[in-house]
Amino acid sequence: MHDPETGLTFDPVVVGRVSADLHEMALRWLTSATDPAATPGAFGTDPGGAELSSALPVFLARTLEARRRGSALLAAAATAVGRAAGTLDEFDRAGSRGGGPR
Amino acid sequence: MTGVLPPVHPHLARWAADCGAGILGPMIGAVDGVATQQVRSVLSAATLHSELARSSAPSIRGWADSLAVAWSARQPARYLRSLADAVGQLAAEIVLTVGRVGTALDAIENAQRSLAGAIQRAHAAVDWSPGYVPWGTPEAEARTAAARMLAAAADSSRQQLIAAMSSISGALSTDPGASLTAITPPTVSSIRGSAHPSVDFRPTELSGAATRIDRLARAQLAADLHRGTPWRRTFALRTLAALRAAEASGGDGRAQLLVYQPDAFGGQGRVAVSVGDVSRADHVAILTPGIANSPADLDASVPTAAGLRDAAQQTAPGERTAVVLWFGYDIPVSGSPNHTSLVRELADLTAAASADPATEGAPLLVADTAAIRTTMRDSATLTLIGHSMGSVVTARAAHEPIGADSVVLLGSPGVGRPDARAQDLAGVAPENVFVLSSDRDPVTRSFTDLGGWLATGLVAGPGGAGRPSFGTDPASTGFGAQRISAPPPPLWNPGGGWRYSFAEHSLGRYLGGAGLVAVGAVVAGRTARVPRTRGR
Repeated sequence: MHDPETGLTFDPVVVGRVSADLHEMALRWLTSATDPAATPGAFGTDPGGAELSSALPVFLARTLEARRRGSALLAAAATAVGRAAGTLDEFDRAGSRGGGPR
Repeated sequence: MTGVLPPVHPHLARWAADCGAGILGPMIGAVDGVATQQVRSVLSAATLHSELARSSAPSIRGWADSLAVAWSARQPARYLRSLADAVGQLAAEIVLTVGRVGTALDAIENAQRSLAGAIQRAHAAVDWSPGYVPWGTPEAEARTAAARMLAAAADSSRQQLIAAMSSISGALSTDPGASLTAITPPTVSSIRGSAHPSVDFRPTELSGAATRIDRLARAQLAADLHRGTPWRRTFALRTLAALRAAEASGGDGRAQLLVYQPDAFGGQGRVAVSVGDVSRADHVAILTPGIANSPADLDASVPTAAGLRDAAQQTAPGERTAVVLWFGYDIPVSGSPNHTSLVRELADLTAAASADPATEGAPLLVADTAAIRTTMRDSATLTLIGHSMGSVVTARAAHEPIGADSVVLLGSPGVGRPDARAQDLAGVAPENVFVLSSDRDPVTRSFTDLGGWLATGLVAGPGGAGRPSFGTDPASTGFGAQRISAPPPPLWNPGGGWRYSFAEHSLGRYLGGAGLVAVGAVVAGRTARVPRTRGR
């Protein structure tokens, strides 16, 4: 298929499958994520130990946030790819089918 | 105190303070206060995140590769590649941090074990139960020595603890997801705006002077990918898919683009792709397909070519074979986009019932074969193979001095000329002309000519009927070729009554089982191993 307005050509089967796979991976990234575990005093009560005891959940929260952002990026890609392909598909269905030289 | 270390006898602690060895309580408490197992269990949650990221990166990169081929928009593939890189970096950062913290925890546990041993030794050295021991006695001296030993061990362990915790502090201060924050999701408009494709195209991946044809063809392919009309881009993407399929089909992992003409035959196009490196092969075969094949779908035929290459290489271990898929003539019923009217469709169908496409296509095969010959080693053998209509093209081409070592005609309806004989083929010795025709394949029987005669008459009127059609059956005794004896396994036939079946005509039937082995032996130059039978 191709979109004569933009000149884009694409294989709708492949694009659709990639979009679906991206959606599925985004869901997997979002679910079963572990919340930061509480670790009071894991490094002891010394001043240095107390500082580390608070740094550990911060690190875990960062990894969790990265996971959430990864999920959002994957979902955004899946949506954009799917919608762009859908838009192009509408051009095709509207009779703008291209082809080789006549 | 977390209970990792044994409790210190109160008399020992007091004696240490009284004799000036140090205050044991805070030193031992700092070492004992780190709950390493609790920290490890927290890190395991982060490790799960890293494993998810690590396993996801290859999938995302694979989807990017798919979109690069399947979509001429630059943006989706570029974005996904960036995302795959960032996700891989996330996994690596988490693993690095967890590793650094784990190493520090190992050091802390070593310090705790060392201090636990020192406490036990101090307890065993002296009887600490008496509440009072006079100074200056041997018992007092022993208590002082034990207390100082323990204090020194506690101080050493504490120093190890401080170093380890400093390392942990540095590790935990990193942000493993920083790589993801730089990624901006694509929008629909950004995809639609990226009309120029971004395809991983490596024109220099094949080296050597012998690949000049390949390099020129790929340069044209690259131009179409980046600046071509929509149709040419689509054709270029499909051709690129075929090249990649050929490269991924095993063997030496090489492929070459030997013919690339998207506009030929009113949009059907002409393409030839080699499965294997023609310039390095000991044996080269050029396979010409029959009707209903399209250059735009050449990738579907790559497994067939790879199977033939493998069969030849099994026949001649240590010798390399390359198989060229030559989709270079005006193939009837190819689904060409130029067939936009009923008249054109009818003409295309009629062409399938006559030898006209072969007559017009043979000079192209001669010319392309000569060009391919220039890229081959001097000692390499060349075999021309044609199936169905492709066999007619091949036979017509072999009437010219094409320089083939062997010719193989599969499921052939004829050689394109009446009263032809193998010895008339100028391009190959008659003992090296091989034919594989199933008696159950109706296309190879004489009534195919009758059908063609009627079809041409139907379209062209009475004047058109009776035109010479496919010519001499190459499986006939009169033609004088080597008829291969390699019957395919019988098809399942619940009725059991039909003698002929068009299913017998497929290329897969001819290049399968014993037929594949026999044709592979021809390609490998081991013609003596080819089983033969009498002609019809």
